[in-house]
Amino acid sequence: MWLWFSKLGSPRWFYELSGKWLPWLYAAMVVFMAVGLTWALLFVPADYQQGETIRIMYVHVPVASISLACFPLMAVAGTITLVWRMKLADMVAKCVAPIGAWFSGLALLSGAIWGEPIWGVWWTWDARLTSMLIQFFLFIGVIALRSAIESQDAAAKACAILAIVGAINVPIIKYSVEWWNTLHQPASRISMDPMAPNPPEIWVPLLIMIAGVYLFFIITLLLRTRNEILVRERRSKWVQDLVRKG
Amino acid sequence: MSEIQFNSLAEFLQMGGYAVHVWLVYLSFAVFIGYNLLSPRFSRQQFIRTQKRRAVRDAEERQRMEKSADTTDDRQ
Repeated sequence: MWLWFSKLGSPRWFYELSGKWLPWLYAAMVVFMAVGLTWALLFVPADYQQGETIRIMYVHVPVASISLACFPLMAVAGTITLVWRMKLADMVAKCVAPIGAWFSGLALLSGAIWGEPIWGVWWTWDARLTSMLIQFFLFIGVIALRSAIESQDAAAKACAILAIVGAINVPIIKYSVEWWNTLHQPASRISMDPMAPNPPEIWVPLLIMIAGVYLFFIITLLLRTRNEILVRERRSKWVQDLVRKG
Repeated sequence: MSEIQFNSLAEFLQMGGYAVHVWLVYLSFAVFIGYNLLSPRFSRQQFIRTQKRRAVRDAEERQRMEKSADTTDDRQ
């Protein structure tokens, strides 16, 4: 267990292992996205109220729900940085922040585009939308904080603390639709019954899209983390050998 | 699985009158995926290029230093 832990902390080991994973992750992502997108765009029946805008949900829901995974991941990585000073954890924490900002940004944008015809407003200060906007700004804040502190160690610690504190916002986003009376609808309960409001023909393609977007999230996180490893280890022999070859 | 919901390509593109909304979301999704997969690849190439240049410069610097060290040795 400890050997595994210290190995995982070794950036070189992680770089080599993730290099082996990437082609498989890409292949799986392409399959899930191709099936999910075809299903969502062509086969899902139009909603009796929302019409064809239901297809927006197949982008909005995966992106928004995965954006909620980013902050806890950053907080866990931050905790590992603070407690065990694992170098790799801070690299992951640094690389999650811009990805989280992208995911939150697209969740807000796709939600606004959907809200404009269906709610009649593209933006409203309801609890779900506002807490999501706060999450977007928190990611921007983490990025700004890191770039503002020159010492890498001090920046890592400051960002770890902000990530842990900021993670409080995640359950607020998640349960905002239940705690407050929001314009944003709560999650629909899934049902196996084909006559239910949320039958399998609606949620099965959604699950496939969520899997595809999750794979995309893992891939882009690995790509960024691998770059960060190269930059921070640029003086080591293995990176210099790799540069000479590549 | 149900059937294809559209009778023609034109109908598919019109999205029941919500063409702008639906396609704008899917376009932003494509940009989002494309940017986040390509930009790390570019920065990786950039990193390798600058490191290669630096290695060449360091090697030249070392040679120059050795040469100047040689000439001072000759004078002595």
